[in-house]
Amino acid sequence: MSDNLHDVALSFAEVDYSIGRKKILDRVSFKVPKGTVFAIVGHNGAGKTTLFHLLLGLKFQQSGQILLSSKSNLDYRARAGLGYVPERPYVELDITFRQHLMFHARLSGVSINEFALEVVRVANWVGLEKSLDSELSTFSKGMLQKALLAQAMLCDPNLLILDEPMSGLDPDARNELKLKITELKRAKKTLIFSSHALEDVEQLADWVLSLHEGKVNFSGTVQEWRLSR
Amino acid sequence: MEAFAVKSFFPALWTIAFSSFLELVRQRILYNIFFVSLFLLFFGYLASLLVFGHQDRVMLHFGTMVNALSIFVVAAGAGARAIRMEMERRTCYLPLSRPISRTSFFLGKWLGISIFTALNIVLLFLVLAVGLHMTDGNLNVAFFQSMLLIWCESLIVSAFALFLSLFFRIGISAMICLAYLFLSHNHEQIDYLRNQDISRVFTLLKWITPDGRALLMDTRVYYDLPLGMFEVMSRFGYGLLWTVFFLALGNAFFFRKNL
Repeated sequence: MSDNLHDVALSFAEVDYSIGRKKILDRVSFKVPKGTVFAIVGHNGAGKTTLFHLLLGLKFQQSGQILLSSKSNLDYRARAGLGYVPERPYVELDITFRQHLMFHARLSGVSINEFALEVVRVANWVGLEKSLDSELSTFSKGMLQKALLAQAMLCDPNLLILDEPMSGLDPDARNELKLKITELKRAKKTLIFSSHALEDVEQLADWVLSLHEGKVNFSGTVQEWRLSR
Repeated sequence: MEAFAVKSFFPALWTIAFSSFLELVRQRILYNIFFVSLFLLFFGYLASLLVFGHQDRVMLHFGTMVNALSIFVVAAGAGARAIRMEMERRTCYLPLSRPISRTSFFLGKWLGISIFTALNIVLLFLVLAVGLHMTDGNLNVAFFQSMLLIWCESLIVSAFALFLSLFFRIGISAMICLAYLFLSHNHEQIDYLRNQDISRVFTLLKWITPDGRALLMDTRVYYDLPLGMFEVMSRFGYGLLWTVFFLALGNAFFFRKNL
């Protein structure tokens, strides 16, 4: 893996996070090269979601350093150019898809002149342009996942974080999402996703990080990971 | 980078404030509070019919108190709910994963509530104006000043409720907040007990509660005794200082809170 900071989209160095006496992440270190698809695997409670929350500044590490494109995660400005899809649709459901996108577009710094175009662009990309004026409460699980992907794609981010994006989706929706991820991979976006489904990881990822009870027990290419299993 | 920080702070603040305001508009419970206030105003109108002369004064006095009560309940409820609900439902994850500071999120929530309480005051004021018209009365200057100071007090209430909601559940925060409001309107009694040397708790209470009497001018409304402009401004400034204190305290805790 490259050590040049300019080639690294994200790095964790000796990151610790505990709740009370319970260690959730224990001296976690890894680097994500730019333009690659990076998968984080591990059982429930391994620390995958906590790791995402730390890098997004939703939680704060007790020690260690997290750098997003060579800026500390503690600086909110480091999150410019980052898109995030949470593991569950943690969104207000009593607003329309358009209102949801407009809200996030404003927070991402999209200028007033570009609002409408940007909202339609991302809605088109996920194939939900006809549902722009429907309330999110009327969306199916698959549609909600697409809606979340659309908000993450606002402002064309360079780094996308997807927390268990395939969970709870039917086979068609999974395939559709995989196609989208492949499309982003071709566009040289950096993608970090967590998953329980090993076949998804083998199919999509370039690099794999395996967590077990908060500790890294494997970090390397997907080929190396395949051999290590 | 610094330019980006300044450029992104205010748009983010307004976006959060606007969304927080719309969220409040969508909540049915607040309409219930509004309708209860309307009912109380109507009750005030009926009460004014029972007196001989100065019916308008009764209506004004009653109206001021109903407005204050309604606005304080809304400010306490909305303040206790705004961030706590987002934390419990985890809906704050997505906005906070954007390049915005936690300060703009926290202040934006408070600003949204403040705009909503201002709207609430204007609506109740219009209803009261109709009630006064029916009792052949007029709105006096003291009443307008009193509305401004009630709104100012609601700013303190919502800032305090936001601060409490970082530690307690919604209902508990709202109740503590209203109890605190009650204490602040009994500063005279706190002062009396402090002077009796019963306990140091009363000295502490005196210093950690704003003096609600400075912001409530119901008797002045009744007798139409307006304050001077400087007096109004200094009382408003006093309220704002307490608001800034609670906002700064809340923001300091929210800034490094694990969500």
